[in-house]
Amino acid sequence: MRRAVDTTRLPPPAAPLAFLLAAPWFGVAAGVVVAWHGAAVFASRWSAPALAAVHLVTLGFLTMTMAGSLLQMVPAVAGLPLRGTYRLAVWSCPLLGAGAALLAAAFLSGHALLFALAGAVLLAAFGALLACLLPSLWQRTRAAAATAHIAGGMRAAVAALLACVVAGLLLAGWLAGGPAVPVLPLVDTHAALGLAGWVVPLVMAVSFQVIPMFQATDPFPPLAARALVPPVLLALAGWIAGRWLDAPWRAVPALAGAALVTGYAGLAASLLLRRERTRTAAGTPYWLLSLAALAGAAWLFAWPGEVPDVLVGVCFLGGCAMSAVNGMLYRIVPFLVWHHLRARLPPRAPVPKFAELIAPSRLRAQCRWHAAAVAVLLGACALPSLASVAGLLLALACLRLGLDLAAPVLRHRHSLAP
Amino acid sequence: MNDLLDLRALPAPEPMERVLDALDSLADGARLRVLLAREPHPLYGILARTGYRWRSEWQDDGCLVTIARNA
Repeated sequence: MRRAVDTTRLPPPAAPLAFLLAAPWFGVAAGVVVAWHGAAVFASRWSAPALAAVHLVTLGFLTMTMAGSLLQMVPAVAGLPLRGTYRLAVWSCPLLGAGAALLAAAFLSGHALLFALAGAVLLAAFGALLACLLPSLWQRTRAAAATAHIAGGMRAAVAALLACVVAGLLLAGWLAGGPAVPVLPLVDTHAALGLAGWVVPLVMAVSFQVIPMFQATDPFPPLAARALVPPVLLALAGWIAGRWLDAPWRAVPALAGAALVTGYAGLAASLLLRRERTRTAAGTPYWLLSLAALAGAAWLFAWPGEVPDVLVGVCFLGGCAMSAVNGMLYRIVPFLVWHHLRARLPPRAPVPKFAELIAPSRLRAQCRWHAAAVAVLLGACALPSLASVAGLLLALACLRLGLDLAAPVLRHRHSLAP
Repeated sequence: MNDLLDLRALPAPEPMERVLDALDSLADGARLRVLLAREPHPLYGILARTGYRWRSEWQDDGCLVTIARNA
């Protein structure tokens, strides 16, 4: 399979960089919430500090990164020029950040007015983002044949995001004193769409490109790359239908989804572990941790029997999603800086090597901090007394990430300025 | 320098870095041939700006790019 990244189509680097540099600080905030509230976070998925921390991670860290990456990758990887109101889309960065902070404050305080404000700001944030992404992904121009399956995964993820946002806004409206909604199935649908519909397909689709590109593995087998995402979405749709019908058969699509993502994780891990060079490459441990946690979270969720929801959430959000995003941020941010310097500076001007922008040793160090945070977060699900230490470790890991990403951008800010 | 530089096994953006380093020492009239895992679109803009011409063709085992200084 041909691996094509067309960086001549990229938007100005400042646009995606704003999203990518902001994201780690919401991870820091989530860690602080966990550290401050301690065991209460792990008492139940319904506890206010747990909901605050989860939305700081999902909106502020994950969606912030994924939105910035999509503005970059839709034109560069899928070969689809950005349409719609692109200049408006960059406003979704501050709006998303403000919305995540307001929503976390609303959960922690319980004030209806804050829920209303958070809902309004997030509506504006996603409106601005989707007004660009929807016409860009569903335009007449066809995605490049080599990356059509990646464009398909992006479309699926963005469609799930749209449905997830609608469900979330209905819930925020109810918490703000608005119309009643069927809370339990709507919350489960919101969570399923956000985690298994928005995060999983996008991580899978993007990994088909970035694992071979940045870890220098063999390409994914074309058939597997094309065939894996659609049945995951089918399983998700089946599970959501079963949840609304309160049907016991929803265990079947859950188990099928777990088997599918395990197949994907096994395939990706086999590519990463196949050669000494890719096994030891900086960034590979993030992927291995993410893939193992993806399979673990999927089976914890799907396996019949009582598994605490908090454990599934920690395994998926901390172990799978944050690990993959951490690793990708360490590759994508310096790549944007390096490419922009190469393209902008005069021909004979000295340009730093890619590896000098963020030293591989810094990736490895941050990966150890992040892995320690994930391990203690998982431990805190069984021993809540570990909660504050877990939150502190998460905050410190995200702090390292934020400082590491900001360093090359600040160092070369004059060359990067539009 | 007419030898083939096989850069397929390197992670991005190391192949581009190697190509640009090799071009610095390219003798007048010589060509650089590189085999890459993906088409180097970002490289083309830099080559055009710095006075090189290129030809790329897809083979079963990768993208072969031949680069020479503009006459």
